[in-house]
Amino acid sequence: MKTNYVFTNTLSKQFYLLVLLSSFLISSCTVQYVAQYDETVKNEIIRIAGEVDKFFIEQLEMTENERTYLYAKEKYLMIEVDLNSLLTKNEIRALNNQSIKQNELALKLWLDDKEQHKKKDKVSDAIINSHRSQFKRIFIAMAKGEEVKN
Amino acid sequence: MSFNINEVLNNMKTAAFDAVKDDVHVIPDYINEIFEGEKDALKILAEERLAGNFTDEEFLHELEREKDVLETQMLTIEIMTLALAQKAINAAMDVLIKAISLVI
Repeated sequence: MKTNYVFTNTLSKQFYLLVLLSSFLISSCTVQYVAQYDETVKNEIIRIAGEVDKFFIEQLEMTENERTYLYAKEKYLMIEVDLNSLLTKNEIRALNNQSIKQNELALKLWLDDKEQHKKKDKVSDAIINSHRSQFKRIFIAMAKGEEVKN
Repeated sequence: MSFNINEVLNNMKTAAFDAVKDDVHVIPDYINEIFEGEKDALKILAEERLAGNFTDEEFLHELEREKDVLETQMLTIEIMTLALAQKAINAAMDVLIKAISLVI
């Protein structure tokens, strides 16, 4: 009789433990380490990448003397606004620290481009080619970073 | 219905593996892509410096910018790693929850 009671009691404990464990698991059944995938963010990264590339290609078609800061100023501001807007979109998403940091680095390099151009009032082919390659790699990294959240 | 912990753990392991087996190559593939791109970029920078198209100051400035490019790319590796871990853990937990649901 006593053995039967112990056996029943053990079974009952196991059952309650299982119920407790399942309640815990069902209430927290998934982990999330990165933000939810956002296709609009990925498309925006690709759109800005296209604008930046167009800006560099247009400058390569010009002579060095034609590449004044005055000519490029409007474009610098437009891309700066686009990158700031993308940063806001990234900042309001939870678990998105890496993408925020990527966006900040892209903005940092863009502002550096603008300041260097303003200071020298010209840009060489070598600088344009180098920066074109750098931004291409940055935007690919950002787009891949978003895509992998899917 | 009994709860066989060894069987459940094996199924969890299989589920975790299956969830990421088609995607796990993206990390080494992208690391290769990063360093191939960096090799090309540094080669061009060195050639331009030797050709006199960059001053020393510009050359050093470009190297500093390359560090920021690399950091951006490494952040993508971090996101890839976290996303894969998330996928694997959630697949394993799904198996565990289903196994528990069957016995209660």
